Amino acid sequence: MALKLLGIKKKYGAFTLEISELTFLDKSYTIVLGPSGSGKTTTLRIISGLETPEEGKIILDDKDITYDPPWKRDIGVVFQNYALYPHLTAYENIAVPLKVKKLDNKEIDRRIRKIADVLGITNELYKYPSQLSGGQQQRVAIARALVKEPKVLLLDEPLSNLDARLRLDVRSFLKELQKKLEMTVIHVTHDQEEAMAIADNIVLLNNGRIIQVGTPNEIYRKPKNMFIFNFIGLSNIIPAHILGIHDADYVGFRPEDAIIKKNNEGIKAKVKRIQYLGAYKLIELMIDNEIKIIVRTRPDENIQEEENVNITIPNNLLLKFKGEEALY
Amino acid sequence: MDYPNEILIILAWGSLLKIDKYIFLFSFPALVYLFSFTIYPIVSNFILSLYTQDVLGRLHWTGLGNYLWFNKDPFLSQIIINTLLYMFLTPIIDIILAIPLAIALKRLGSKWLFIIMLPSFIPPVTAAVMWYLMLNPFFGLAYYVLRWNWASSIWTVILVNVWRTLPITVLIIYSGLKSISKEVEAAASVDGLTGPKKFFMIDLPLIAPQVLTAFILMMITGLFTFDPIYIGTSQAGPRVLDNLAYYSFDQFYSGDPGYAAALIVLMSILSTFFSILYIKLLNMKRFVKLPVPKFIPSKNTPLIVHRIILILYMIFILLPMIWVLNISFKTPLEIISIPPTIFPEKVTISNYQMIFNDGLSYIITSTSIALINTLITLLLIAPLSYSMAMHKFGGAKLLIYILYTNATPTLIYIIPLFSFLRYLNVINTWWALILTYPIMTIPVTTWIMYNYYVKFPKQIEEAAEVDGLNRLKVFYKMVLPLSKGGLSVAAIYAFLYSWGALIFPLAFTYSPYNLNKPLSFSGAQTFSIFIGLLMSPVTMSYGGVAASGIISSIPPLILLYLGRNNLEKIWSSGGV
Repeated sequence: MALKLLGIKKKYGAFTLEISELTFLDKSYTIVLGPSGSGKTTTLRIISGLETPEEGKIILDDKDITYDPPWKRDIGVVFQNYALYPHLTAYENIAVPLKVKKLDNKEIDRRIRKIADVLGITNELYKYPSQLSGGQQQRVAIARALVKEPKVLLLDEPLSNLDARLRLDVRSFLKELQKKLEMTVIHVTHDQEEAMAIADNIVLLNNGRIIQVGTPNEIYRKPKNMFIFNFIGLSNIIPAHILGIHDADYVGFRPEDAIIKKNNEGIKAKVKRIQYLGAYKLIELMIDNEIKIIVRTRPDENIQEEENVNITIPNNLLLKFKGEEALY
Repeated sequence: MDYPNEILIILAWGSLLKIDKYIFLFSFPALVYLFSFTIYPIVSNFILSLYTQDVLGRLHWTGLGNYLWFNKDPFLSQIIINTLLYMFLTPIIDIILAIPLAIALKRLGSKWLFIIMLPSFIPPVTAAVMWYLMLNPFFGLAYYVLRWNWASSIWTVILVNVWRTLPITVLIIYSGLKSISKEVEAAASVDGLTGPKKFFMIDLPLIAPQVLTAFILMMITGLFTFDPIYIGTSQAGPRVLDNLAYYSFDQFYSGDPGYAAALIVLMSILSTFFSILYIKLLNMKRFVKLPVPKFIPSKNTPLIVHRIILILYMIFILLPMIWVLNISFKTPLEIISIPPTIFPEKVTISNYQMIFNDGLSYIITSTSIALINTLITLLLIAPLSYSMAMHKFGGAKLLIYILYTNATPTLIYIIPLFSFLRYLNVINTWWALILTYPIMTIPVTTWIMYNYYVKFPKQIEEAAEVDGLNRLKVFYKMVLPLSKGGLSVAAIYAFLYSWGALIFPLAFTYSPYNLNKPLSFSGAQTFSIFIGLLMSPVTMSYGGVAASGIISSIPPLILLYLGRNNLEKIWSSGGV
């Protein structure tokens, strides 16, 4: 019982999307994460049926839906710009998918009221899209996608058109909604912080390939390679020999895992710059005047620029890399 | 800097109005021309409509006499019916025909747009003669289809109108369909809306502004139908096909300027009303909602249906042109043989030789005037549209005035312009046409260039000014060389309007260019008049008409070919 992609191939000029196997777990919140041009929107369009792959299969609950048109797929889509029909009220927008299914007006009304109640837009139903705020438009778009009670909900960059303050609210709202309705949600974004914050599972894409699938913690703590390590969160990479390690080329560690010592323990470094960020400080240091690292400290840490200090990193928090690949 | 006195005075005006002196200098020539050649005729026309002219050409005050005559004029009721039929049927048929074609183009790609645009590029007179030749019940293709008196039917006039205006209507609606956002299309697909149901529920409501714009524009064209009536009348006889436009011109031509002026005032009021409607529509952001009955299917129309639609329209568009091309190579005897031959049995180029012998002076006038006017127009409007777009010169008021004149047919200016040219003693010379043609071309080209410059990067001017160039130099050295794209579209318009003009040369000239005294530039009948003359029952030289029709289409076809990649831009720069 899940959504499965098998042997998918899709070409766009020089770009190719290739997914050999990917399963989206039932009733979970999956985020497809990747830099722009990584193929995440194409993946979403293939799942929704707006694109047909050249090879491969899409299987939803053991049924092959690869060549089904979008509206026969039991999949709801919320577009990045919401794509509401500007000439229809919120109510009429939400009614469109039901009207196409030729439901009777009473049933349509019942379903719209139910979903509007879930999304908190009951008072907005008779307004036109242009009379709604960005956040309200998004809720209408979600309602339109959910009203046909799909098995899977696709969200294309749902937070990118909202202002920073609203983003935090909406992302927890999305997660709560998914839990409440016990739905399978696939959410596409390029924002790694957003992914870490709400995903049950993250699918990491780069250059049209899946490079890692895992929980946020797995991706953060056990990245498969240097690209992932650098892409997610702040990171430091230094040659392994500096720490006296000889079975790897490089070692990586997170800024919050390093400890600044004022005694002679660990490696020597010089403080170059201090960024005060309220909840913590980010300290930029140089090792041997050529390798830059960042360390996170408490905001009241007593430290000066140009000061010479020592750094230690607990061994269990070090990541070893052979070439680009991580060693475990 | 030292300026001559005249310029100082102009600058003083500018400073009174608190406008940058360079911007004011730029825009001055075009503005003076525009205002004096539109506002003066409108006012003067109204005054003239209160007078009547006696046999000696003297004017007498008659008050509302001319208007009171509306009631008694025995022709007027039929003329008003004709006018209303042309005015409403042209846009209604246009829109009904344009929608399926625009949808087919969207599905099949715009590469066919090039051929669809043909009728709107060739001169209106030529369009009319093509249809009248084809619909001739004895010598035309109509012999095999329907032997009917096409020439005396107002339906033929409407048919020619539709044929000529359909391309622009299609282009407007097609650009509307293309502007529907990709995401809304995708959302419709996910919601299960396709085919006719999607069209009525999503597309049509969203393109309602474009459909209405096209409707109003074609309604104004229909109201001022002239060329097909001019050609048709030579076949059918007087007063059969007349509308207000043609009738007023005829009254002016036959020496009753007061009554003609009154008729023109009536039309000016109508056209002003529609122009205002048109301007309102251009700014319309509202969408129209349609009740869509349940039985309308939500099924994709198969591609083959779109292909068939496209082919049918191609036949409609190309048939008259192919028929005329055929006739132009037939011998005079073959042309009047009954039944008509489909293809010429003996190909001859004698028709073309005849045109180059007898029509040379007309061709010289038309080509020269069209080129000169294109140049003058560009020189006048480039600086004006630049200061309007970049420096908000004239503000919304000037822009609205440009749009108003754009939607106002030039017929309403002819009587006062005629008096003015007679006063200057330049009737029947090239100067008469050179002086008056810009009024046909300035509004449309200013609007095109205004839209072009609105998107022009302002930093170019700012950077050049920081580098120490004054605005005049900035414009001529930096802006103008970068405006080729926009100017070429404007030039195509200016040339087409000038090349196909009929009313002004009919009103202001009476003999062909005098090749014996070329430097007098006297005699200025244009090629479109020549075609009309050939079509008249006296000459009845159908071979010559066909050949001249083909020749008159060649320059527009070249322009169409050169502009083929900008066709979509041509409308979007000139419209919504």
